[in-house]
Amino acid sequence: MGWLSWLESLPLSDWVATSDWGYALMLAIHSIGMAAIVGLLLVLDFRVLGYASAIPISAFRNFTPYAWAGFFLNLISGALLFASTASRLVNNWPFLAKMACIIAAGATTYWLWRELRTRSPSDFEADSHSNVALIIASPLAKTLAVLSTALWLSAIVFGRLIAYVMDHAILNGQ
Amino acid sequence: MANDMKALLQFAHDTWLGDYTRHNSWLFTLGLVLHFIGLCLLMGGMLVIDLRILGLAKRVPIGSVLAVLPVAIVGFVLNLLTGIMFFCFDPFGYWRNPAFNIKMALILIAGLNALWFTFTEHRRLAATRGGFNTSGAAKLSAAASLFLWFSVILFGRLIVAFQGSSSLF
Repeated sequence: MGWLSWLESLPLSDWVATSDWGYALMLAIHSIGMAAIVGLLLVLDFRVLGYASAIPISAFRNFTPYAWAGFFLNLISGALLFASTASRLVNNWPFLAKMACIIAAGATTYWLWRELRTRSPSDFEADSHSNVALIIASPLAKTLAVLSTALWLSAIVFGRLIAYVMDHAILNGQ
Repeated sequence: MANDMKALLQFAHDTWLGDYTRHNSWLFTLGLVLHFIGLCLLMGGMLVIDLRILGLAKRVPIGSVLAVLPVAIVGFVLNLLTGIMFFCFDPFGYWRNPAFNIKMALILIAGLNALWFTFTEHRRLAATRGGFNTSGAAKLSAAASLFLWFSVILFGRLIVAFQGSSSLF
């Protein structure tokens, strides 16, 4: 696995792995990004399922840049965390399960959002919500919302387990 | 360390919860999973409410957005309960951890900020159901809320890195 060692030998990977604050800082940023993306998407899922129904579903498009910001924060911090411990992560089953969950969760959220937009396209246009702003989601949308919640939460569960499977983390007990 | 404090920490250490968690490490792992899910619920709710108060999604009445508050409260209670469990697991270790000290101070300030909002702005905004505008004070409180809660996550995540350091007190 030559490319994994190469990845770990990059100066930035080395900084994350060996400096006093690199690793802890990346983990902290990763948690902050997680709070933004998963937090906002969970509220969207709950709303699609009928909770807080006074909020038009289309209003959530105003929050999408913040969910994306969380996603990119985690893509960057996650890539650096991976680069710093690549050779131990490629065989780490919770890590692989987490990646699978994130891909599936992302696809589900994309599908859900497309379903919402197709059902009520005028609500999602540039500036204003129409008088018939999307209040009740379709059964398909509701199914996707349940799936999205399950997949994002599973990603968190597997993410938490990564450290337990990595040898150094087992020694630390956390 | 004052004797009163020592006695209090010893009390937390000797509770049934502390004892049980020290003997069943899977409970600590499960607690951490729930703590992370709880923080997502708390931040998801706070982001929707605070960003709306700051002027995002202006067409939605504030009263409607405040309906999301229970999501944040459920997240907070989940993290309070799991947090108490972590603390009883190793009270002396947490108490002398600077990141933990700062995290607790930040939660206290964030809590006072939330209480202030609840007893002044929340009532007024919830009463005017068609309310679309927020005061400067409410905006400042919302910005502080986001800054404080994200800082809580930052220092919470630094607790492990600070293990073995000396207390700020």
